[in-house]
Amino acid sequence: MFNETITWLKQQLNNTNELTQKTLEIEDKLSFIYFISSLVDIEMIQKVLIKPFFEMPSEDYFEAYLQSLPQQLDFQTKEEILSNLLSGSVLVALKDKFIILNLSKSHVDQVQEINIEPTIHGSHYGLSESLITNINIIRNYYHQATLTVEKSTVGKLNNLEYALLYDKDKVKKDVLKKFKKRMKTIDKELILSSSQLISHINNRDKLTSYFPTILLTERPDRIIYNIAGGKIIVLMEGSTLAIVAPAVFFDFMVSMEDNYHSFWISNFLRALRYLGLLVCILLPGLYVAVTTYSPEILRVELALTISGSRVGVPYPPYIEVLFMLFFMELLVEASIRLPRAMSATATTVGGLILGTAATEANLTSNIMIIIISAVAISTFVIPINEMSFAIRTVRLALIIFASIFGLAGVVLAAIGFLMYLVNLNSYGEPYLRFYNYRKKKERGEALNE
Amino acid sequence: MIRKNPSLKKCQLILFFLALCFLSGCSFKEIEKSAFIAGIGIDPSENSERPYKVSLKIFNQTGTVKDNPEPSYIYVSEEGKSITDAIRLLETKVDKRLEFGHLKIILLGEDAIKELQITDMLDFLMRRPDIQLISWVMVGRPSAEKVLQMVPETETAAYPSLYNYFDLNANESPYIITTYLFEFRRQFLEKGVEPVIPIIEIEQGQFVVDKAIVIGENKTFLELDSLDTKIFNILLNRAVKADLIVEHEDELFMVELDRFNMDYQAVENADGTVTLKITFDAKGLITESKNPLDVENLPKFTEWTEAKATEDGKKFLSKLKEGGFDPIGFGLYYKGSKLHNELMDYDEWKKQYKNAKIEFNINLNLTGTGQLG
Repeated sequence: MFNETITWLKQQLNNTNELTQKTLEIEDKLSFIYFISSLVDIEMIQKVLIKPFFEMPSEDYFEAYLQSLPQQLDFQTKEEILSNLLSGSVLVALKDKFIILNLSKSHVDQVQEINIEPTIHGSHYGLSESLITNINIIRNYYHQATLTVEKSTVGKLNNLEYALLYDKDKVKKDVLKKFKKRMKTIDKELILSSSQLISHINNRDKLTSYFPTILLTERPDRIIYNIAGGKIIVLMEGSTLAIVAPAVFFDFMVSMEDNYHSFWISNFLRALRYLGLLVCILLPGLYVAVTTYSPEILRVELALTISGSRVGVPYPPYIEVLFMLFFMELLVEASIRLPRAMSATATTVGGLILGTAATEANLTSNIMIIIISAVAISTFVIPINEMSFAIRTVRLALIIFASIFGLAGVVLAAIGFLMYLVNLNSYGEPYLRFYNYRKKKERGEALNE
Repeated sequence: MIRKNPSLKKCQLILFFLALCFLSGCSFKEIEKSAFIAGIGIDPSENSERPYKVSLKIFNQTGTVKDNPEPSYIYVSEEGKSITDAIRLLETKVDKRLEFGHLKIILLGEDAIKELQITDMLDFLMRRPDIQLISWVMVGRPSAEKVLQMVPETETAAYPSLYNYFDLNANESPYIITTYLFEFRRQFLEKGVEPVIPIIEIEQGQFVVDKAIVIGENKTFLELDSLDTKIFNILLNRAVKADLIVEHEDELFMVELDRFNMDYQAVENADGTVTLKITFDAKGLITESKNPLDVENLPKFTEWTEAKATEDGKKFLSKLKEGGFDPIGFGLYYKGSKLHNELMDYDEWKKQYKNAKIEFNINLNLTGTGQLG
């Protein structure tokens, strides 16, 4: 059986000439070690394995020593041995036994700087690409014995490791059950990052997952905040983004800075954010509706100013809005793709020069430029990116309804949008409910009664 | 049953919505294709076949306010069998769609209210959905058209200067009465209260808005001169500030009332006569005086002012009462304060109102003799 396994392993790894075999032999002691040199920490092997081997009086001593090492892993089948070898473990063959030690070396445990959700106050470093480091970070921030970590793998082909983190006392049991079930149903060959995982988690209901029901974050403070709020966190090997579930609408509107400011200031900022949300959803639609159907809503001066500034503009307002929005979206998209040094150029050329030129050439009215800029700015006020992507597309629907049905269309579309949000849920949590974790416990107790 | 392919259904839905995009119905009009109307004037015409002469003042906005900062209007007028008839004819005179949504000025010619049926005019103004009920109704002298076409030098682009008199933002003079369309209609149709609308005159290239006219029943009219207009405004608590000139022997001083409140009642006495009770509370300050005034004499000044105010008020009320005009709404108060079976009939009330006694109580609180002490 012993030799069989070794032969099988060698066969499996035949194509890669990376499997290294070393024979340790002195006096009556004999041992073989197998590892893939690019994955393991050579220094550790030398320190943990080779040096003690030559210092130990007998094989028994060495075996006992190895069994007591913290890096030692349990295994059942030869397939497990293979997968462990592939993830950087060392296989030690001693007498007729196998011992596996996890001596992997990772070059990705550096903590990354935050660049998706920057804040003024608060931590400027996020997660690393190493799962162990990330769990370490979170454990360091959240000292609770109830914090549970469940590791598992996903992806048939690449067997990527992920960890489920939650506070055992705070998490809702049925939500956890639902989520785990959902994770198990993922049937994909290759999972590369947490963003991809999200789309597979949501895969089942494509239509209802138009709005994000799972939050992606790179901020450890947000992760801790959500663990304390009774949510489930998924960390993935090789990904600096953590998945937070369940996530309701209001979670996407929270900036971590809200907790760092004084009461009035953070409330002001929150109000500002919701106003920004309304502006970026409603303003383009309202412009279309008001200028084409009901100009009597405006003040006289404003009506005349808009009317005057639209003199000579060849297209009706809805084409004008769609045209400008299209350019704005291009601009946003371009500045994401471009390297940082160049994106400033794109914004200047696109925003300033194009904007001015478009009004000079009478392609759009000045008021339109103001509206588009206001909309663009207010989109960026939404703290979580997925939400602002979703919102960006919602307003297009509103423009269409506004150009067909006028103000009534805007109102109806807004109500429809609201109805859709109300209908949505994230793992059983209503999407439009305030998720107040202070009250959560009481609610949980009430449910248990 | 034929089962539909789901993707076909989706395609149909998309096509449906795309098709809707091209269905820009009749109300889809770009804003620059609308002609915003600033004011409408209604005059009687000389042609008895077509008695209504309707004039419109239309904003002529051919560019931004920055490009042409001078106010510029187009004036069109047309005679018609009815107002709508005239408007239909007027539509052919303007290249854009007439947009009444921003109409604020409704000018009725002085002759129009006397010669034409006010109910017909009101009918048009109320029925048209795009005329806002918060438009101001006013009387133009000598004619609505002349007043409508007047552009004083102080006028800025995009905001007719007549708006400033009535929008309660710019001008707060106590001589100006503001009557909204909804108010005008309500008071016109209601028995027991009569509408008062301001009269706009033209004097040396400027508007003069200091008179008003009470429109009574059966085409009776009472013109209020500027003093009466002011008293009416003060009594109905519509003015923000008001001045009173008090003359007593040698003394002559001005009292500025800045807070006042009026309470009115119509009480039926046991013998069937009616007493009109008015309680007027006011707070004020002496702002101007011919002679130096002593603060210690303030109670005396208060007494004189009260006497003067009572005199003015009583004079005004008796003028209204004797003419049978009731713009304050005593009749309405009476109707509202009695059960229907105890109510005297309306003609009886009219008679009693004309002979009613007036009780005028005034509580004045003068807080000082001005900054000079």
